[in-house]
Amino acid sequence: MRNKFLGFICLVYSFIIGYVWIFDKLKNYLALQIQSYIKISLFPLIILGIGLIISKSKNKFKISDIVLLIPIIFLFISGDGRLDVNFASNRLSDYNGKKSSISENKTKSVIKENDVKNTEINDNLEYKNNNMNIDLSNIKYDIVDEAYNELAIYFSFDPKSVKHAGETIKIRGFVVNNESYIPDGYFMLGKYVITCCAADSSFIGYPVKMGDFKIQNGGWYEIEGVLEETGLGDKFSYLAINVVNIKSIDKNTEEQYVYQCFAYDKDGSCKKLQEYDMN
Amino acid sequence: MKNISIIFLSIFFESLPFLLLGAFISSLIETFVSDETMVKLIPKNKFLGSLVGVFLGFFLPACDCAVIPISKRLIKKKVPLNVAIAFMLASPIINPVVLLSTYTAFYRTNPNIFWLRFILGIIVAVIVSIIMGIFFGKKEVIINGFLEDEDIDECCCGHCDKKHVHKHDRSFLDVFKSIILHTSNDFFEVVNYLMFGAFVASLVQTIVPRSILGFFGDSNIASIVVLMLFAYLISLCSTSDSFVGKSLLSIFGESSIIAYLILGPMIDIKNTFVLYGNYKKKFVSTLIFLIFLVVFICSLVVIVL
Repeated sequence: MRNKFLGFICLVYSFIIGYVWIFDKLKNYLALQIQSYIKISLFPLIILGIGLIISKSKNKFKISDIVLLIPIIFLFISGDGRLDVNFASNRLSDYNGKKSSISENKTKSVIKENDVKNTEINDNLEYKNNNMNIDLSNIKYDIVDEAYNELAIYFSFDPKSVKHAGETIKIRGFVVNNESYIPDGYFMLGKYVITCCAADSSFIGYPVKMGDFKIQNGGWYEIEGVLEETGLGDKFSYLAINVVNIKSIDKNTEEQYVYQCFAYDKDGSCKKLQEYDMN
Repeated sequence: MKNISIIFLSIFFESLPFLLLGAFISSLIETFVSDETMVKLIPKNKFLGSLVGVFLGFFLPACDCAVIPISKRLIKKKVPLNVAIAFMLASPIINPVVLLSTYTAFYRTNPNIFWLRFILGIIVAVIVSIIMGIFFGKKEVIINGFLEDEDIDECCCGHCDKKHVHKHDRSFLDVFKSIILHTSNDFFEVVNYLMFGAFVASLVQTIVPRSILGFFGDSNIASIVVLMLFAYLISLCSTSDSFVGKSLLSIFGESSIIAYLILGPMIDIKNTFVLYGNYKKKFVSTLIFLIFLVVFICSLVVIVL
C-alpha cells in the first residue's frame, strides 16, 4: 500500500513538473540551465512511480506521508508564479549595497505607495517630456535581457561609464521607489537577476530621475531617456536615466528574471554584451 | 504567502533532479558493489581515508542535497565514517560545476576567494571528518529512515541489510526492481525532510530582509558569524551562492565571504532537517557544531594572513 502511495507521489511530482513546463511557468522558478535538469528528471520520476505502483508490497501507509503532497498545495498558492515587488525589498544586490551607504543620510521625498494610491494613476500611462529635444530614432543603449545585469553594474560602478553621459537609453522593467537605498528624487527600474532559481534572486535596477509624472511602485514600464550624471557616488558621479518617454507595459509579456550574461550562450561567451560599448 | 510558495517550489524543483541522481547513484552502489569491495578500496588511515572522500567528491557534480543519500549508503556499506563525511562535506564545494561558478564569480576581481574556497573547503572537510571519525567511528549513527531497507520486501539485490545471500545469477528484471526500490527508498528518505527544510528556508528568505546584514559589515568577527548564520538560514545551492556572495563583497570583507562560501554548501537549515531525519541527533548536532567551529577558525586565519 505504501509503495503504491509513494508511486502516486512520484506521478504527482511528474504532473507538477509537466504542468509548469507546458504552461511555460518553469521560467518563474528556475534559471535556464536548471530548467533542462528538471525536464529530464520528469521521465525517471514517471518510471519510478509506475515501478512502485506495480511492485508488490506489504508496507502500511503512514499518515505522515501526507507531507509529501505539500508541493501541490504550494503550486496552487503560487498562482502565476511571479514574485511580487515587495520581494525586491529584501533582495540586496551589488548595486543596492553600494547605494545604501551613499544615501543613508539623505532626506527622502520619493513618492510613497500611499501617495500614489491617492493620485488617480492611469495604468496605461504614457508620458512624453516635451522639454527635452532628443532624437530617439537611433537609441545607443537598448538594454536587452542578455546584457541587463552587466550594464546595470557598469553604469553604477565603473568610473569609465561616465563618458556615456548624454547618450540615449531604452529599458524595460518594474519600479521600486520606496526603499531607503534609493537616492532622493530617483526611483529604480529593474528586474530580478538569478543564477539557479528564484531563491537566489536579487533585484538589479537602473536609477531613473523622477520627473513630473507619477509612477506606481511595482508597475511595469518602458523608459526611453538620456544618461545623465547624478552628482552622487563615493568615487565618481554615477549615471541615471533622465526620462524622455515612459509608458506602462503588460507585465505578463515581460520576463521578470534576467541571468548573468554567460547563461544565455551555450559557450558562455556573452556575445550580446560585446555589442555594447563598455570600454 | 505567494512569495513563500514560489521560493519553496524553486528550491524543490532545483533539488529534485540532484536528489534523483543521488538516490540513483546510491542504488547502483547498493546493487552492484559489495561491502567487501568497498572496505578493500578505502585506506584504513583516517587522514588518507578522508582525502579519498574528498577525491570522490571532486568527481560527483552534485549539490548538497544529492550527497546525503550517497554518503548514507556509503556508511551502510561499511565505508569508514570519516570517508563518507569528507565526501559529504567536500563534494558540494569542490566539484567541477561549483568550481566553475566560483571561478566565474570571483576570479577576475577576487581570485583569492576562488582559491581559498577550494583549499579551505578541503581542509575543513578533512578536519571535521577526522574528528567525527574519532568520536563516532565505531558507533551506529544512522537511524531508521523514512522507508528502511527492511521495508523493501521485494529486495533482490543481495546487498540489503537483510544480509541475504548474494545472487550472482540475477536476471535483468531483478536488477531493475532492485534499482527502482532502492532509488525510491533513498529518494523519499531525503524528500520527506526536505519539505520542512525548504519551507523554513523559504520563510526566512521572504521574511528576513537582506539589508539587515549591512549593520554587521564593520566588524570582522561579527561579520563572519553573521554571514555563517546567513548561509545556514537561506540554504542556497552551492552553484548560485558564489554570485550572492559576490554581491555581499560590497559590504563584507573577504574572510566573511569565505566563511559564507564554505559553510553554506556543507550545512544549511534545509539539510539539517534531512540529516536529523536520517542520522542520530547527537551525531548531527556534533557535526553542525564542528562545521561552524572549524569554518570560523579558518576564517579568522584568513584575517590574520
